[in-house]
Amino acid sequence: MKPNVLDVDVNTGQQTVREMTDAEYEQYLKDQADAETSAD
Amino acid sequence: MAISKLGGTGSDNWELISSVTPTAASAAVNFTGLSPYKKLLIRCTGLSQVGGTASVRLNNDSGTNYDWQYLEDSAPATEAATGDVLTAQTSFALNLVTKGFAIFSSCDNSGLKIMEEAASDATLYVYLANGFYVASAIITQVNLVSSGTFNASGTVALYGVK
Repeated sequence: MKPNVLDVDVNTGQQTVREMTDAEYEQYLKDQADAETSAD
Repeated sequence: MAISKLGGTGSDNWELISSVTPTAASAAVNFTGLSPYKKLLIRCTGLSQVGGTASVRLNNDSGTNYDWQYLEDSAPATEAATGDVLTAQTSFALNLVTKGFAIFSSCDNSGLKIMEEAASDATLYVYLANGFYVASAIITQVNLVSSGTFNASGTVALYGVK
């Protein structure tokens, strides 16, 4: 299950919680892999 | 509690743009729709994460456009700091667990954006870094991203100088 993200429109103050897009999720997995590599 | 205004007059009169608490099980807080600011500051306090640390991106750009150098120390009283010089990274790794900030300058033009940041946590871990965001776009988004997920606690506040 993909994580959510919180979008904050600074003009209206509206906060929107939505599921990650596929592209965002792909980047999220890359970020995790990079974080694990840095920790080694 | 977010600081409503960091004071000052003239060119460094910081104004609070927005302040939120991350959503439970979320992996990013995205401040969108920014008008041009000379400087932007993202400040995090009291955060809690599961399985990761937080980094910052600008304009939701995950390209290799972030160059910086850092020093970090997990035990400043007893151990020497370590560090590195990094280029062509995909974000500014704040290594932020609970608290930290990043300041970006020259955000309202097509030149280099200067970045200065610091992060720490309850165990006296200290992370200091500075560098550049090398893309030419004016900044319209600031993104705090976790390699794990945020809990619904703490504050992420965005300030700016026009």
